[in-house]
Order: sequence, then structure tokens, then C-alpha cells
Amino acid sequence: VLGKGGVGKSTIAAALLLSLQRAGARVLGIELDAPGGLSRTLGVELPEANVAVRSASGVHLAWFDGALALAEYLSRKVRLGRLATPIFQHPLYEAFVHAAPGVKELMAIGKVRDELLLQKRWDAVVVDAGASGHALEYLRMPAVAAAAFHRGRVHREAKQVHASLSDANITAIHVVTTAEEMPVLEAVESVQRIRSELQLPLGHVILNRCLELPPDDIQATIQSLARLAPDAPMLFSARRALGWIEIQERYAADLERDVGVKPLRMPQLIADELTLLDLETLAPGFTGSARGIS
Amino acid sequence: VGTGGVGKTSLSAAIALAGAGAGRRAAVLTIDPARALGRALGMRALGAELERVVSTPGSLDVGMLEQASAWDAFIRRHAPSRAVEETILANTFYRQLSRRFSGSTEYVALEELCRLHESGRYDLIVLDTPPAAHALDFLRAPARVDRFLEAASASLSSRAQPLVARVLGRVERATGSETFHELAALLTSFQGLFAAVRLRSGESRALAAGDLTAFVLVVGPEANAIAGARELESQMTALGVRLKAIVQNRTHPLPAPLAAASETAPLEAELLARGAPPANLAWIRQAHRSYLAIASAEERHWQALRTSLPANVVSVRVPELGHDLHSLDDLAEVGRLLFTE
Repeated sequence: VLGKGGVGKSTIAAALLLSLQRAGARVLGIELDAPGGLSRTLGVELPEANVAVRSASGVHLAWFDGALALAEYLSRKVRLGRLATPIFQHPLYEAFVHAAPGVKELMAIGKVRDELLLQKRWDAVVVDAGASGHALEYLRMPAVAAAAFHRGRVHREAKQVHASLSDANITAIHVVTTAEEMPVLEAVESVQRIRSELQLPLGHVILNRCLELPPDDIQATIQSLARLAPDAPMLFSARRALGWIEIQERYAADLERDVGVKPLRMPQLIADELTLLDLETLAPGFTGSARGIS
Repeated sequence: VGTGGVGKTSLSAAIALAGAGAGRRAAVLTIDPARALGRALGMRALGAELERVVSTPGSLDVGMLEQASAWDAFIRRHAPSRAVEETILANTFYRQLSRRFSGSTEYVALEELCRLHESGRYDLIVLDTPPAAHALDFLRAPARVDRFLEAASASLSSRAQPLVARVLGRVERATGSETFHELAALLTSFQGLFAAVRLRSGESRALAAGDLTAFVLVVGPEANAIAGARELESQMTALGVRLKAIVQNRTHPLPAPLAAASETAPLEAELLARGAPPANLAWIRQAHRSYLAIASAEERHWQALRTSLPANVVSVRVPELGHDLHSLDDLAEVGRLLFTE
């Protein structure tokens, strides 16, 4: 699940997890780099990287750290002995992790794949992949790493991970946006890159926080309300909502035109802090819809 | 500073525009701006070079910070010779590192701020910080670049070199990576830059923490944005920087006191009697309830935040305009809302 910052990716990822779990699946939610919105939304503390914790809702959550996974991998494959600790704490190693093409991302995505395909503990994993640019880097890296390392372990590993990512029976990449200018532009760009550059299986394009459309003849009622009570707070709210809906529908139409598929609409949740109950109102939106989710 | 999606870029532009309106020579340096904002500023495309968009009574220059080219410019300025400059710019490791090392954007943003400040051409410089999960990342991130440079510099010492080479060799064989040859080449050509870079980074850090600089935290109307603000304020104080103001952006003003606004039954009955379709009334009622729920929650969080902040932190709410920002007038309107409360 990816999208621009602030569009509600974590909420969508949480709702997706709950809907899968309700359908009887054993599910794991994963955050990359650090614990963030998903674990916060589901009310779980994740003190340690790479360790799954069960939430009150029954959904398991974990955060995967690519740098740590790389350190584990290197300790296993290269006998470093007493040098291991000073190396992994060395800032040059940190620079290598950041700069070697995609190693950190490859390790994190590789771990996601291991969890799903090798551990046999889960029927589905949902990855809250973060802001679009960052998430696309993660998706791009297995292919880049396979090409950059012509041979050896990293090359083989990268090829396997890329094969799983490209398999539409295993992977679906969901792009989340709200009906605003920048989020829609970013979503369109992500969808285009997923299709043409990355050639990975696109899941849903999700239009989050949609306001409910009014009946067709709403203007007549608004006008009688305006005549009857021009200062009514209810009139103020209704006019504002109509204004937002006009903007919403304009961007929704742009989105649909530019990605060529009908976005899956999710309603705006009106709540102080999201509760499990709120998230469950979103969950039915997924069930019965296209492959990769139901 | 602020997390993604809260409207930092628009507010930065509005602050700088308000400065220009008050007769100052203002500049705003933005990162990845909304296209609408570029249009609102009357620009076809934002570039790395500052461009004047307002020239009276003060002036407003706008520029966009692009990470890769900003680093390249930084290397060009500080490289001791043309040959060193070209070796660095062509190095694969450098190209990856300058574009991807986390903290790298923040590092050059501070450097740019420093440069504009030293040029003496501006009375007010507004820096729109890179999107980050945490507002403090802007202050913490450059330290990672410093740590890397220190380590790189240390690893070139003759005592460390054999060990570094041995370890690099092993990691290379294990991963099939040839990255380290490039790294070694980069470090060698970087040698002449370390002193200049270290000095520069000290200067920009001093500017950020100094009296001339004020941090403005932008938060969205949501509860969790507010919850973190208090903690952030104390962390900033601990880092030695000054939080000048908190702006709660795009808020939903209540049209009337909550109790009065919630009372809608008589009006609905009257409309029903005049033949309004029940489905239309139901929609209006729902829209109204949603609006009141959002507005009153926002109000509660805001009051809680305000009472928890030290008295010297200015707190301002900017209501949302009900449309996208399309023009300089829209930005000026945001500026007025920002500075009149």
C-alpha cells in the first residue's frame, strides 16, 4: 500500500488487514524502516525490529529494518567474527547501506517475501510501504540489484525477490490517494511507473476520504433553506460540503481518466481518533472486489 | 517544519509574500512544490535559480531546491581544483550517495539557506523543509552526513587503511558488489574538501540555532498531529533551537456556537412541511453533523495544545479557504489569515 504522505495509507492498510482477517486469513501487517502509522492505528507498540506482535484486533504487526536484515545476512554469509560489531556500527558501513544500489531495500523486501512464502505462518501480508517515491524505490530495487550485481549471492537473491514481486498471483500494489491536486498527481505518476517502468502488478487505485455525494436535486433544497434561514449553520456546512464535493469530483475524474481504471472509493471517517469500529466500516469496501484482495 | 501533507509549502510562500507586502526583500526556497503553487506564483516552472515574482513594495524571489543539483553545486563551490570536482561528480558512489543518503536533502537545504543569508540580498528567507515523517528530522538529519564525513576522513589515515581494505574485500566477495572500489576512489578525491565542508556545516548549524532563525511548526487539524507538538517543542529546546510559532493549518471554523449549531430539528421540520425531499434533508443533516464533529474536535485539540505550550510560542489557526490556491491573491489571503489573528 503506497501513496503521498497524509492520504491515509495506514488507515487503508489497517482496514485491508482487518477485512482479510475477517475473511479467515492469517495476516501480518508490515511497516518498513520504523514503526509508524499502521501500528499506531491498530494500537500496537513494536519495540523491536523484525518481531511480530499481536494486536487487540488479532492482526499481527511487525516492522522490518533493511539495514538490520543486511547485517544479519552478512553475519550469516561472511564470517566476520569479532569484527562484526565494529563494522556494523561504523558510519562507512551506514553509508554503504544507503548508497550501494538497493541493498537495504532488497533485504527488507526479501524479508517480506520470506515471511509470506517461506514461513508458512501467514496467508497474506500487507505492507504499509510509505510515501510513493520511497515505496517505489523499494519495489524497483530487486530488479536494479539483480542487474547491478552481475553474479554471486545478491544477484540470485534479487532475482528471486523480483520474480515474486512480478507475480500477480502473489503481489498486488495498491495506490492510495485523496481527491486533491498533489496526491492525485503523485498517484497517477506512481501508477504509470508501476505499469511501464517497474512492470509490476497494480492492485487497486483507492480514492480515500470521499464525501458522500448529494441527491441530484439538492440545490433546490439548499435554495429553500437559504430563503428560510440565510444564517443557519446547517446552510453554511451544507454549502461547504458541496464546495468540497465539487473539487473532489473534479480530481476523481482526473484520476480515473489518467489511470484508466475506476478508483475504489473509501468514505471519510469522522472520528476524533480512529477506533477499530471505524476501521471496520471501511473493511467491506474491499471484500468482493477485484483479485488480490478478496 | 512539519510532516507531509499539512501545507508547509503554501504557508512558506504565504509568509514570504506577506514579508514582501510589508516592504521586505523576501525569498522562499521550496522543495517539490505543488504545480498549483507554481502557477499561483505566476511561474511556468520552478527552477534552481531564484526568480522574482513580486517587486513592490518589497520583493519576493522564489526558487526550488533540487537535491542532486544542489549537491553538485556544493561540490563545485568547495572543490580545490577542477580535476577533483570532475572526478567527484563522475563517481558512481557519489551519485548514489548524494541522491539517496538520508539527511542529504536537509544538509544542502541548510547550506542554501546559509548562502542566501550571506549574499545579503534578503531581509527574510523562508525555507520550506523536505517532507519528513518527523518534523525534527530536519535538524537531526545533517548530523548523519557529518558522521559519515568524519568516518570517511578517519578511514583515510594510514593506520586504518589496511583494516578497511581487508573488511571491504570480504564484503565485496560476499555480495558480488564492486561498490567499494568506487568508495575508495571517492574518499581519496574528497580529501581536499573535508576541511571546507566541516567548516561550512558548522556555520550552517550555527545559523539554524541562532537568534536570526525562527522555526514555525505546521500541523494539520488532526488529533495526532497536535499530540506530538508539545513533545516536539521540548525536543527543539533541547537541541538549542527556538520554536517561534505553531500554525494549525486548514482548520474548520464553527459557524456558530456548538449548542446553537447542533439544533436543527425545527428548521428541518419547516423545510419538510414546504415539500423538501427527506433524502435531501438527510444528506444536509449528515453533512452538517460531520462538519460539526470535525470542527469541535479540532477546537478541543487546539485548546489542549495551547494551554500546554510555553507562553512565548505564538499559536495561530488558519482556516481552510474552501478551494485550492490558484493565485497570488489566494496566497495573500492566507498571509492575512496568518498575521491578523
